[in-house]
Amino acid sequence: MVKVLLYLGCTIPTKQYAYEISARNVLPRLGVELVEFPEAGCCGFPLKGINKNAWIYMSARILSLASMRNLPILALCNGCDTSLRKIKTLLNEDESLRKYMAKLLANEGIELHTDVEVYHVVDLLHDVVGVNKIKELVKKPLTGIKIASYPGCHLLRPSDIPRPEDSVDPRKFDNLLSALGASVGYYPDKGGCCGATMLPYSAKYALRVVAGKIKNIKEFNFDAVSTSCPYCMEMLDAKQDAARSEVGDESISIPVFYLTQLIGLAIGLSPKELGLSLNLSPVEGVLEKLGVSLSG
Amino acid sequence: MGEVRIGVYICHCGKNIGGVINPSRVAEFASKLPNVVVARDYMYMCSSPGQMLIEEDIKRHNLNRVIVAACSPRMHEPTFQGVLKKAGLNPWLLEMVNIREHVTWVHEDVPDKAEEKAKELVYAAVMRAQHLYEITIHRLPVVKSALVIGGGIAGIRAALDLANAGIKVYLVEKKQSIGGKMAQLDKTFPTLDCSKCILTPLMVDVARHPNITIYAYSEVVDVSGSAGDFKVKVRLKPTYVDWSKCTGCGYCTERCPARAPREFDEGLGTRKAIYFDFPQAVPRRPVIDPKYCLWFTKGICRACEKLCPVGAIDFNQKDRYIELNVGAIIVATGYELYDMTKLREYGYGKYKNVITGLQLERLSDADGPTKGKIVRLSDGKEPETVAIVLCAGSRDEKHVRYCCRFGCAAAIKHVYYVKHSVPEAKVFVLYTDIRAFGKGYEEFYQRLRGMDDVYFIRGRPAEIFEAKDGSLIFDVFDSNTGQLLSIKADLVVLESAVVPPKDWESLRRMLKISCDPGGFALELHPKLRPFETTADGIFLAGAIQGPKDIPDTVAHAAAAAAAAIGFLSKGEVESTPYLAVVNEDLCSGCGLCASVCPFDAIEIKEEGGRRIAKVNVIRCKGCGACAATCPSGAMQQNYFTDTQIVSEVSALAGGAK
Amino acid sequence: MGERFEPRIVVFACNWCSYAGIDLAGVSRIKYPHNVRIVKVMCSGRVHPEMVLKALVDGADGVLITGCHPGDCHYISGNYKTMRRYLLLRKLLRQLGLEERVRLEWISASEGDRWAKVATDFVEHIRRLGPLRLKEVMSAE
Repeated sequence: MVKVLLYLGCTIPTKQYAYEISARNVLPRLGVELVEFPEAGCCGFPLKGINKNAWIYMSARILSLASMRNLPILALCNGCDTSLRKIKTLLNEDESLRKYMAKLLANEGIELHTDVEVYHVVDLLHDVVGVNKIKELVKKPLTGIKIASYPGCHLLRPSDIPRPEDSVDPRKFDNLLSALGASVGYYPDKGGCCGATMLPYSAKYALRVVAGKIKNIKEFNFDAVSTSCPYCMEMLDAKQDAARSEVGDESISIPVFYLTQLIGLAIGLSPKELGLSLNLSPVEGVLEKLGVSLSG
Repeated sequence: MGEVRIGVYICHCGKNIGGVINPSRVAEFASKLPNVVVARDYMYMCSSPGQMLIEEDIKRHNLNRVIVAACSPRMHEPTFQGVLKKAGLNPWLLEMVNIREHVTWVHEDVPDKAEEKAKELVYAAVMRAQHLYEITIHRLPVVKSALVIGGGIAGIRAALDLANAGIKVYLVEKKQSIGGKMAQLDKTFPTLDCSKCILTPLMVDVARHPNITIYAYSEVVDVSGSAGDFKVKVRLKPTYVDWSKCTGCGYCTERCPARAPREFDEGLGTRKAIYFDFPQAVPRRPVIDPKYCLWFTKGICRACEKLCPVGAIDFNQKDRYIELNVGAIIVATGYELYDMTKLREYGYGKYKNVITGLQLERLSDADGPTKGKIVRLSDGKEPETVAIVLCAGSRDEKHVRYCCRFGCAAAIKHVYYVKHSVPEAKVFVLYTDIRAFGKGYEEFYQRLRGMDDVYFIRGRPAEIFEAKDGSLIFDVFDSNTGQLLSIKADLVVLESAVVPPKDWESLRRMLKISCDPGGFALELHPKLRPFETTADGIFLAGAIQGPKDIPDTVAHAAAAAAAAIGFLSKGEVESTPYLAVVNEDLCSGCGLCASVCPFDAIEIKEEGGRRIAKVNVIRCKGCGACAATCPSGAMQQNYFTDTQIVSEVSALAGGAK
Repeated sequence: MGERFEPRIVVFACNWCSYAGIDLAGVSRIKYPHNVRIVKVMCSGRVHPEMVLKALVDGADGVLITGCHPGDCHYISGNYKTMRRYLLLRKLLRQLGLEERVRLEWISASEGDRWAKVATDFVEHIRRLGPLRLKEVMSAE
């Protein structure tokens, strides 16, 4: 049993509900106790291009609050995970920055501490819970389904801070999918960006990135895609239709699932418990193969 | 030596000294100093009559110390030492006082102070001269032979030049055949000569030369001694073939059933378990590789033994060791390619169709795994698009910082290879800069750049991916046109960074040569003495001193050979006059001196139940660091003993009496 | 009396770099104070701190140790030893209040003008410190 502070960030509670739903129902069954962390706000990631110190402050705050609770943080979002680990590294290396942040936090009555373990779903499940434990719990293996893991660029990079996955050859996500009985494989540019950060100012090109990604994946005969970040999901799943129209290619269509949703299916949970009706990509085909109906 | 009898000579040096101070007054001052028997001044001390003056005085007055106050010793010390020699005195009983560069040329404006200073310097010299003693130069005969380590083009060139000068040469090569990297190339730039065709005649010359003995499939395991007299231990690895019986017919290699990856093909092709590196191998004597031989691995076969017409196969061979005694060593161990798997973003080792430039050479070579056809490794089909990536690992903070020097020229040559093999192919050259510096290189570049379907793109791909059909896809930003290009290539060729050989480090330590930040051998001076090292008698030839192409390698090797010939032809090697000397009665064998010697010239030896420092008179270069470090004063430096220095210091500190 | 104090400076110079640099100053006819007295050694690594102390005790008001720039030593590492000995020597001299009277300077064979500047600076520096008179003090005891 491992106990973690569930850190949702901003995108999940406001847009990507399925991630929270599936995480809350799946993780405890894998031996992960989720503790509420309501006092934590945004990690500051969307701000980092505008005011670096604001970003650092917001993540430093979360690390300090977690330290006060004496529990590790589980970030569901790639961006949050990167922020927290990056700020942890920055504050450990830069003495004067650390002093400055400590002073600012003191205004709120918070003592700056960065000695907190930060996990993402992928490395928590792979390294702490373990692939074997998950395998044992699988009741409905995803046999015959070839799933393309899409870890998302922030799970891999920047490589100068600890990341859950290797930046050139990510394996953990695939290992988790294999444990569920699915087949996995290579496709080009697995670690490439989903285009989410481009969306606000250059939607056209962001959608083309999505289309290109799906085309690559389909070329390699995958049945579905899995992701572990709400931004990536937003692009590959929610924006799939827009991407299809942008490039005018009807074949740009593939089911996209959260990793937690797939684990849930494999351990026998119902689509309702996994928020699968919220997925905008055509998931019915895969669910049918697994003998599951969306309304179930 | 008995009574000290000093002669002091003050030079006017025309007006250089005489125009500022009064030399005869200085001479008069000197005549009153302790043990000064005669003191004179003269116009030009270094002139013939000036020198005669000293010579006659030595004889007439029975002088046993001579002081000449004149220009800098760096100018005329040897001149006056010659005078002493001629007069029958040991040359190191001379003391020179610098009253020109250090006095009259810089204190013209205060002539009285200048003269006072000159007098003080002469006084100090007289006090120092009391403690001078005869110094003997040790002369050891030089062994008139040389060891060349490495049988590539550098080693071959050096060996031939040495041998032609009448010097016995031992050429040690770790592989089965000499020839090195040049033998692996198909053609050479910019002339597009067939590489082996210009190399093999030289290899044969080496084999045939009466002054050269080749030890192939061997390596140097120990080096001791000093310049002029090195003792080198060489390990002759077991070939399992008696090379003295073998005729090189090659029948064994034809019939051997076992296959192994062919190192000569950079892992692309196969060879037999008993093999020659390549058909024109020198020496033409095969080697059995126990890792793949069926007898060694499974206890079966022995076909070669059965078939050999002269019974040369010997499965019981062991390591053999020989000791060579040579006067000079030339290091010609070459380079290696940087491990391309370290460039993880390029997928070398993962994607079948990403290869190195050297592998492309093997594909293009008629002796190679595809008999000269350039094909994709994944399916053997001809490539329609080839991308050549320059500076793979070079000029990169994360990998190798320096330039590989020949990558650009090699890439241009590789464009030719591809267009020659597959004329309709599209070739992209992805470069950072094109360094076509050599003779004929720019013309070669212009010619190939002008060919149809050849594109030079100024950019480096960030990450390379593999498409479903095994071709490679990547983006590259062309900073010449400002365009982002998306390229799909059937074959990607990486022109790799160049590094010193992996096993070079242990040899380097044996020879006590320093290395530069890149790990290459450190030269004595990068511009003026690039083929010499701080170790006397050890010279550098070729890429071991830094990446080079073939013309520069050959020039460098010839220079190293010339320097070695010069060194050996003197016939003798001399010790420095400023030698470290041990007073064995005072020495406690503490070893501090040995630990500070930059040349490893001091050994602490057991003698008569004690430990005593022993100085190797040839290795010692006369720096004096040991003398300064010795806690008991047992270690002194000739001509710079503590007594000598302190008497000078004390005299200068206290002023003239 | 009104006579100006003329410092007496002993200079250790290595054969390959510093001595050559000082020669170059001479060849270039660059003027510098006459107060310096050069002692040639093959390498600055030959200089033992005792020699420096002897100079001070026997009448020198200041001592300059010169050698090749780090990395350029003709004997590879001699000047590194000089550097280390000098640092220890300074520590010792600090206890005696004498550390300002000994200085280490790297002079290359091409730095004739730099030598002149170093010599000038040091002579003026010692002139400001005044005579050491260690010799007189010690012989009085």
